[in-house]
Amino acid sequence: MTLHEEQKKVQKAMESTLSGLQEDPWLTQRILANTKGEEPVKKKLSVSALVIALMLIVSVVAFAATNWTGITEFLGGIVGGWNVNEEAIAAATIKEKTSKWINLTATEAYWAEDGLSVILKVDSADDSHVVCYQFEEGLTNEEGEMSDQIKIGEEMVSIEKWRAGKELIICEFAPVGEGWTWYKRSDEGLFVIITSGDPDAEALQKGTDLTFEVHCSNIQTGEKETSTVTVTLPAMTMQEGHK
Amino acid sequence: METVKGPDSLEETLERMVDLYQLPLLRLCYAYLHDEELAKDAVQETFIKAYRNLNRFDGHSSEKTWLNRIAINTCKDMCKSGWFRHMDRRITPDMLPETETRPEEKDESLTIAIMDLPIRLREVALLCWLQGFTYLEAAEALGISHQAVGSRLNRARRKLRFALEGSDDHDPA
Repeated sequence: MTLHEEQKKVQKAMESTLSGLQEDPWLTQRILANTKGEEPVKKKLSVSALVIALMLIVSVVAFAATNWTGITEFLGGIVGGWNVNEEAIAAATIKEKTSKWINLTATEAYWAEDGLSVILKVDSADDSHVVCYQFEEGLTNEEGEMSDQIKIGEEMVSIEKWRAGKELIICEFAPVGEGWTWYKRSDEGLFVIITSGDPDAEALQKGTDLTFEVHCSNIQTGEKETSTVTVTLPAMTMQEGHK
Repeated sequence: METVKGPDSLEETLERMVDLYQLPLLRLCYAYLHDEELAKDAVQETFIKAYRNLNRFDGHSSEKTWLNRIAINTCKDMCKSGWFRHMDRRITPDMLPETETRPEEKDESLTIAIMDLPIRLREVALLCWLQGFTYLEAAEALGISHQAVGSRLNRARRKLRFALEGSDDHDPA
């Protein structure tokens, strides 16, 4: 197949698949207004960005309780001006988990317009393993292949040295329905924040259990494990906005 | 060679560029970033940068190459942000923009396979296949040699073969 034929095939496929992307008829005017300083061009914050921002906000509160330092620096310039109603932060607890490889501790949960966020601390269930998440900084290179380094704190260190002969377990947490998962490694360990964008409002108001899937792989042996974790949440009230 | 210089005022040039390139750049940025709103932000940022530098654009490269280079660099910068790197950016069919008529399954699969290519292969594939760039134009837009473009495109083909057919013994796209 020639380059021209490839181009035609890909262009047809992508133009058809991405035909829902809409042009902004006012883009020229907004750019001109911005460059002339008449009014700022409004940056659109996507739903995903809002969810991430919410997760970051929640993380400030949650990690403050676990002496996680550096969060202010981490958040610097990213979500400035966002607030959380601290009184609405609920205590989550683990009801059940089926993984044999990892231990989980639920810390807190927060329900806002953008979704429900639950924070879990992740530890290896036994001393012969260390746990990472799939896109941990340094763990994979730009092409998704395993790197030989991982970022711990502010330093890149050799994975071999860091795991010290232990087997490396890489885990991914799946949100319920539409949602996002965000991970953070601090000096205290690995944390995961799972946000469900479309939670069952009626159930949350009464207090409910939520079950997430966890997919883990042992890099040294190639073994895989799919497990679930069920978190119990008290009755909660959805919080409006974040500003 | 096509350039942005001409009798038009800067505003008219911007308007023409937006009319001509907004949609192709939106597709490029969406395929790069996997998020419609982020892609729109990237396109807007691309045109702002272009407008601010119109007077300095020397026509050495074509207008299309120049805008795509700005767009790719803008997307790259967005990918470097702290929270972006921690997000799971793999795309699934239900995450694609809604369309009036459902695209053919093979078109959807090919689009997703391209969007899921590693970044360095994805940007070459998007420029050469989606935007219709030659190897030389893609090399200029990405600041790499045309040999590197050819090599990355070959690797992209192999990965697509594997993703779409489970082997690398057939034509990809």
